[in-house]
Amino acid sequence: MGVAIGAGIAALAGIGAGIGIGIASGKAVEAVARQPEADGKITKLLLLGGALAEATAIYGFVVAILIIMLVK
Amino acid sequence: MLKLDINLVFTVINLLIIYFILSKFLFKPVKNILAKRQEEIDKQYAEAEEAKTQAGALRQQYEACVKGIDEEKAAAVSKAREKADEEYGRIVAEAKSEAQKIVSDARRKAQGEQERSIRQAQEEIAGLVMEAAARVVASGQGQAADRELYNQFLAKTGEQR
Amino acid sequence: MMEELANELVEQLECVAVFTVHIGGWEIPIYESTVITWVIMLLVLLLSLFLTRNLQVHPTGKRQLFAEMLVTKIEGFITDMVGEEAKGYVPYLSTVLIYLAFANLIGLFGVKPPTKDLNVTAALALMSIVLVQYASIHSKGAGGWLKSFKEPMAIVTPINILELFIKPLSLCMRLFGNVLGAFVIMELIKILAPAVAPVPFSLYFDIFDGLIQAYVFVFLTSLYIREAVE
Repeated sequence: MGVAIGAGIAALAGIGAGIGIGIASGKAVEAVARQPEADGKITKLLLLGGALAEATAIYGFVVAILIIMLVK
Repeated sequence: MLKLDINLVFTVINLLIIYFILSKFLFKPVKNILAKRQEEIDKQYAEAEEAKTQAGALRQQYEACVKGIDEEKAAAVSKAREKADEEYGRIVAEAKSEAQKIVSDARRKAQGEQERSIRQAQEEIAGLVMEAAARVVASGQGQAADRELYNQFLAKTGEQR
Repeated sequence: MMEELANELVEQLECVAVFTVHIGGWEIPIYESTVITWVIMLLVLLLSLFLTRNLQVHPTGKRQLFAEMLVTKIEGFITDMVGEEAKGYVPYLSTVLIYLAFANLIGLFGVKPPTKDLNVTAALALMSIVLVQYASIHSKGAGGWLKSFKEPMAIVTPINILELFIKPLSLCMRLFGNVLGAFVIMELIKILAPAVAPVPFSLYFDIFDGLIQAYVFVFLTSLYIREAVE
């Protein structure tokens, strides 16, 4: 039971990543609206930023799995 | 899943082998062929450049040739003109002298004619005089008649002249 | 039902030793990931040989055009990221990119992607950080490399030294976590709805996410190399 709660808390890291990616996407939309010709560059940056921001969520996920697997 | 063991080393070795495979069998041959093509392109460029310079040289030569021909032509033309001028002068001079000769001939002839006609006139006058004298002698009239006759004669001859 | 599902999932997640080699008294287990890497190796070898068979200076076939385009595109793409000064590291980075693309996409064929094994991502991260340090030593000299630890101030030296471990750990865990996460979700979907539902998810998790992660890994490594070389 405790293990499951710990894993759930670790998975809360996803919140931060969600907010981060949301902000990044919003800003990207703004940027494209302002400068539609820089579309490709912005998309590239957005994907990269998304992948980097997602890493935090992934860390949470990995920690959750570690807790489930290692703590008996 | 979460264990690190000897397989990590295997993966490193595998990656190095993949690196070796890719660089030996994919990157190197493709790059070689690209370099070769580049080389060929460079060579062709150099050849084209050379051909261009050659063509330029040829053109210069040709232009020089044309210029020479032009000069020669001009020289020939001027020479011909000179010659023609000379000829022209000669012909004109000849014609002039000919004309002069003709004129002087004509003049001389005219003079001769004149002299001849004068002489003829004198002879005629002499004949007339003689005829008149004979008539005078034949009529034997007075001095008045004589004078009148003479005047008549003079008027006649004056008219004739 | 739940118990069954959990068991199945754990079974799928487990890295199985395909066979065990006995050398002397040692037992060396060979994991699935290593075997699949061998398969990828073979694929890469065959593909390279196929693509570069009888290359001509004046290309006639589409195959050679494709090979040339592939090589020049990948090279230009990575040179853009790593910079002109670090051109010598482009082949290694291309190798990592190609390997990761293969490794992440091979999940499409129902094979467990090797990047799901921590050994593989750890090996990649380890090689990356060794390469970064090598690049730093190569361009600055050993003294310059040691000095680079106390930049911009002497007080941040411990943090810089920590970074030496954090960078590869982050690289390794990011790749591992992404692939594992995608794999877990895909397995869950496959268990729950085995028919049509996995297709769009597979498009996202296997193709898009896999390629993005390969790109991110190479991008970050080249960023570190660029930083080290400058």
